[in-house]
Amino acid sequence: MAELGAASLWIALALASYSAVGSFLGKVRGSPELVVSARRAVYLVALVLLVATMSLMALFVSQDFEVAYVAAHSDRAMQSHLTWVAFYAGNEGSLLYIAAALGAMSALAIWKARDKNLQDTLPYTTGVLMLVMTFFLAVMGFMANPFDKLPFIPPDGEGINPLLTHWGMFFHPPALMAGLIAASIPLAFAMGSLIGGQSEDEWVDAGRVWGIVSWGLLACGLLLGSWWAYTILGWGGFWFWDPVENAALMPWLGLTAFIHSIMVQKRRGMFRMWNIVLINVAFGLALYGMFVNRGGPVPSVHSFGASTLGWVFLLFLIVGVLVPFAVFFWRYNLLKSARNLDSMLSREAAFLANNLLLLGIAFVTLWGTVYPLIPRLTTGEEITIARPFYDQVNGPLFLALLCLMGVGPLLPWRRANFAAVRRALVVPVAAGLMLAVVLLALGIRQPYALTGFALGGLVATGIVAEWVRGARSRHRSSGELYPVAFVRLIMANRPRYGGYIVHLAVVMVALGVIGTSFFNQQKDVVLAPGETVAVNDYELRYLGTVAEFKGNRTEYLSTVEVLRDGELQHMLYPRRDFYPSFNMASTRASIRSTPVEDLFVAPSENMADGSVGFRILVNPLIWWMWVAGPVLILGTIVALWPQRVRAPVRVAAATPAPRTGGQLQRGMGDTAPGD
Amino acid sequence: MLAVSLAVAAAWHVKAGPVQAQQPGPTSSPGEALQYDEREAQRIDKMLMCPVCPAETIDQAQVEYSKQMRRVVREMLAQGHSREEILDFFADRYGPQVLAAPPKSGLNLVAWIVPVVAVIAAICGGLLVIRSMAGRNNAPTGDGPLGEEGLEEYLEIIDRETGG
Repeated sequence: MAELGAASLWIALALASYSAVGSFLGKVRGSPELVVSARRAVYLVALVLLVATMSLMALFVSQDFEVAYVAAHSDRAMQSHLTWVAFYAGNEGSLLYIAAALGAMSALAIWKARDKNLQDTLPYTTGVLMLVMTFFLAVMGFMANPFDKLPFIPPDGEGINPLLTHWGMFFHPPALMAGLIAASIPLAFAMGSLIGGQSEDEWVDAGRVWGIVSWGLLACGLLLGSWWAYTILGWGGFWFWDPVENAALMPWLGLTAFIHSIMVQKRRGMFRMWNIVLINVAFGLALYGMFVNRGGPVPSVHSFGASTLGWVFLLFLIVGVLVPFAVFFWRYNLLKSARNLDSMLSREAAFLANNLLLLGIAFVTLWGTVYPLIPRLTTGEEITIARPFYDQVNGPLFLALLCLMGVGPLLPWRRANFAAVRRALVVPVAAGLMLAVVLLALGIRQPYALTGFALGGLVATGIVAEWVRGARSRHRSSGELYPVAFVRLIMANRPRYGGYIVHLAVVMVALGVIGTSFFNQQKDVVLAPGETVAVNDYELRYLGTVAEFKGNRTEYLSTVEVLRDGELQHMLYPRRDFYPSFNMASTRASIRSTPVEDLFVAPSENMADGSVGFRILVNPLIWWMWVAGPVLILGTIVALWPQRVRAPVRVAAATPAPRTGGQLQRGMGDTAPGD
Repeated sequence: MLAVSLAVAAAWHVKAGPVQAQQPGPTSSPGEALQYDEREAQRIDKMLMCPVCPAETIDQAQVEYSKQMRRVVREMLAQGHSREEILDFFADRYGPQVLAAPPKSGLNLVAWIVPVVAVIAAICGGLLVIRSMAGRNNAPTGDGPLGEEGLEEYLEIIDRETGG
């Protein structure tokens, strides 16, 4: 089985490099046969990598400890459903997973695009994707082969890292890794269009779709990672600006800017250069993320052990940033906008401001990550940049972004007149202010929290008001029932309304962040069995702990009663697992979660006499943050769902806009709207 | 680990000796209740890194070392020390990297100023670009058929209400 896996890796490497060379050569030499054959090789790469993936899975399931990777990341006591997690618990398996994900997504992207108006550019897109693929396969083949064998057969493996045995880990790392590598697909389409010398906007649809895929995967990965940290790390937080978290956040910010800005190019033929810059930046940040994950230079709770892979990925990062920008400057002249901005008060301008803010947050984050290197290398002084820095610098930027999220979508394309803007903004702004006044009356004084809540109210009201207005107008004109009218409204312009759903999810995340950052209560106590402690209006009584030995760990299960006004409300069962072979404990917080607040209890220490150190937290509003996940996925799917009738409005440079016609037709309702 | 915690505690007692002598009330013997503001203590916990764990504050880390440091924070608070004094004490003892964010003074001011300046510069630059683009367009060669101008607002309303 190990031989099959190793062989498929080498075959995939051969196919990918053939496809990369063949795509470029076939296009330059004008040989359509070679181009087609190189394209088909992409599908084969995906298949062969599937075989390699299955082989590694099979090796784990059959507990073949002769394979070094299997021995290092599993043991006989491991439950078989954890095979999936053990698969990417180390560098070698992660690389195989990334290559397989890239293979599958490249094949799908290229297959979907093969009949589109991309003949001149698709071969270059294929070539770029397969160059990236070749890199990963070569690193695996020569430096980190997951199928390498040990010179002997150990009786048992070393076991899986206990922090990974949580079901959040089934999705968090794979979503992030797939999201990071997926950023290479929009980049490849952008590069294809530049190298192919196509001056127009053909790449925009594919670029947008795959940009959103990458963005959505990263968003899910980030949320799941936060949720995992919240339930298992035992200190009750979900985000602490760790270098590796930052490395995943930054490409997400870059892609957020890109998927907004690409809409301007799709609708208005503008921002052509800017979009290329944005996707280059997002791809560069994704490469940086992979570099940090594979042995980067910064200390982090995610450090997967030092490895020489760091240098290779640093090199890849440098090349992956320089080459796309070189191509950009080479083809600079192609990228003239079809139009100019009409007004400072327009949706285009709001999108540009949003892009700058997002890049600003990404820059602050990058700055915070690399700045400690400067004093270290110059004065030799060691400093740390952690959460307090990011909270203080990025906090206001996030608030500004929230504000823009409320105002921007209400502005029309091109040019707004003040009366129309006032009309659109009056209700949301009034709602936001009213919310602020109510909260003030309730005794909330923190200016940040007040502003945040008010802006959240503004955004949500703006969205809901627009839905209500749209549904009502459809109901009036066609007599559709309100729910039908609402669904049809959303389906009629999926990019916009999908975006609104995502915006609502962002407001929910903001609620959770503000609630826990400003209003949480924390108590660290040591309780002997039978003792009680009061937190807010809860009274907690610790009853006792049961220790149970389970193969590779001892589980300490504590029982805690929650009383309110003297009445028993709830039982909580926080757990702490101690793994002697890792000298490491993992906690499972027990959380009573409601939309109003979470009561969080995590054991931090089990003493010999049966008393337990507990961390008890009351976290207001955090429930909304986890519910935001499914809402965000729903919005992303709506935005991505293909439109049946596609009549893309393409605008060549210097030709007058056909927009009026399209708009009027839309107004008369005789064609399905474009996008 | 015990040796380490004793070292921390010992360092603190040596340094704080005179202060303690002046205050008859709270002593730092373990187990006794201290008088201090727990919320402030938690804020300070979040500003100090645990020296023996990678990238965790003493609020997060659950090793003995960070528990000792949390205790020292509370003792110092109980003896009337301010947040700055406590942070300075730990920075003197462990070097500036024990602070979760560099102080806003001296060379470290660079860490704080550069991002602020960069963001402001980017936004000003963006505004200038928009301005100049919008200015160019006000010339009579503006794009789009002229007839569209008066309809803009209505088209937008139609767009909005039909989901265009």
